[in-house]
Amino acid sequence: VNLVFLTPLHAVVAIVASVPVVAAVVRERRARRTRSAVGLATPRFRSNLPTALAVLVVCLLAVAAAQPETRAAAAVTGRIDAEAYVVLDVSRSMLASSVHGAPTRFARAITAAERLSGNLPGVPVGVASFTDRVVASLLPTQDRAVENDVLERALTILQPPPSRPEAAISTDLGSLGDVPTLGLFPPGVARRLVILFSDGESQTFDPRLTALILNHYGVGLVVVRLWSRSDRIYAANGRVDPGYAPDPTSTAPLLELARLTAGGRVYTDREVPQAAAAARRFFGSGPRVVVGRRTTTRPLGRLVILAAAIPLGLLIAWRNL
Amino acid sequence: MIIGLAAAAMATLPHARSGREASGGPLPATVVVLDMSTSIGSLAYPQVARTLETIARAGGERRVGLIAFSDSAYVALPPTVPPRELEPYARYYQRAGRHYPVNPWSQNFSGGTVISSGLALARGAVHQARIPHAVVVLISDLADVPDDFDALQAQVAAYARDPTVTLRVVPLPPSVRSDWARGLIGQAHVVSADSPAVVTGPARRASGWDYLVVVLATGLALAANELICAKLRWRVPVVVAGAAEAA
Repeated sequence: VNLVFLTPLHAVVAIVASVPVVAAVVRERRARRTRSAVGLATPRFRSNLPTALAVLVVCLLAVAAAQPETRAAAAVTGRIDAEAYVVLDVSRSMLASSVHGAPTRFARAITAAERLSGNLPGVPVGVASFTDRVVASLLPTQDRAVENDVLERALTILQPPPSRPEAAISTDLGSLGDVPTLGLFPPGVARRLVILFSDGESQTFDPRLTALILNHYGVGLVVVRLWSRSDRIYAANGRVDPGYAPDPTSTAPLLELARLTAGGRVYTDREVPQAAAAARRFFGSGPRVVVGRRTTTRPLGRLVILAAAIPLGLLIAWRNL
Repeated sequence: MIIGLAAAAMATLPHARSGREASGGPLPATVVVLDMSTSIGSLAYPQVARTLETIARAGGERRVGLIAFSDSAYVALPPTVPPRELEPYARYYQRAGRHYPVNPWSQNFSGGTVISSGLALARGAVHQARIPHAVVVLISDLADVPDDFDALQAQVAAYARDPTVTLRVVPLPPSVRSDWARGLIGQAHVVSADSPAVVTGPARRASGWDYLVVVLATGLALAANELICAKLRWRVPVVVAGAAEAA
């Protein structure tokens, strides 16, 4: 743990301590003249304690002005042979929910993605959005706080929009077949996994071909589906959007795709631990190395200011009460 | 005075804590608005890499964000992530052997250049995250599509009016159409890839002026207390009871 001062030059403000000292000297001279005039004896040395307390107060505040803080660094270990992307469907159908006011598929997908990533210790995880194209947002990182930040603050429905906005259904699960050639994973990463969070409602695609491409390039796929036959898109006033109805025919191709890839089946957002277990099985075990250092910072300025209140309180009690 | 000091301590609290991970308060930020359009060729890559690295390694208490744009824009990183998260993006603009790595955006996200979409989204992201001040660094060849003229003009004006954001531009090797966009944005905003200006402002730490004011005010108050409130003290002679009776 290191103690550092963010603004050390500000400590020169301790010179201010000389102001109450000078004031104390002036006051003492005045008091001496008064005592001498009325024939009183000079008090003991401990009567100078208030001045010492005043200097202490100002010195403590000068330390606070230098903004002290402690910094503790800890090594971060992780896999360098394995990476994952959580890929979230940002098509409009992800705005559907079971009832008006209930979490949308999109909101549930974010929650599930955060939980699932938290169950993959040591594996760098990135974030990408998905409509009819997979677009990277966050490149894989060990920092789950950053990942959650990106999931919660960066991802938005239809941002970026699909490449063909005029299409009736903007999602194309077949475009997952582009993932291996997009350059999302660095060449040295052997275990590469895509964890898809989607309602599975897609343009027509060939699940066998998509699975074949992914498997050929060694890219695993785990599918978490957020879908119900009764889901609807609700406007802010609670009215159901007549332009959307769940597509039950989307189920079979998605089941086929999931069956032929790493996850083995489709998981729901209530089955995040099982989906995480499938992801861990895919990654297997591998060497963990130090991939960086994490620094924890604790500012102390406020504590020092509050500490200065103690001698100040004693000073005022001694002097004035 | 104690109450005043405690109040002052509380008043300094937001500055002392602002943006630190433990407290979650927003820090100043540098937001990169990165042109992913097809007109950005490998000739421009070293400059993109240098700019990203300069921002990622500048240090200081601040955060970064990333807006990617071509003919549309999206928030890749909100303006609240640590600068180190920007470094991996730079690797796509650095030669790996004889070639550049495959860029994840070149296949899926490249299109025309609509600069206004990136600038508008960056400013929106800064306000949404309640960032106290942000430097928005546009990295682009400025080969804006002609249809974007009015929208870009409106964005430049909005940036000029907005004290929360400072616009900087790192121009990449220009295409034939870049002159009017450069003229519109203004030469004053143009900086080089490794200039400290790409992070100027957000890199500043908490100034500590609030602390200084507390120290000065307390010192003066204590001096006034010494001069005005001090009681006259003297030593009382010790009187021995037996001695008094004998006398």
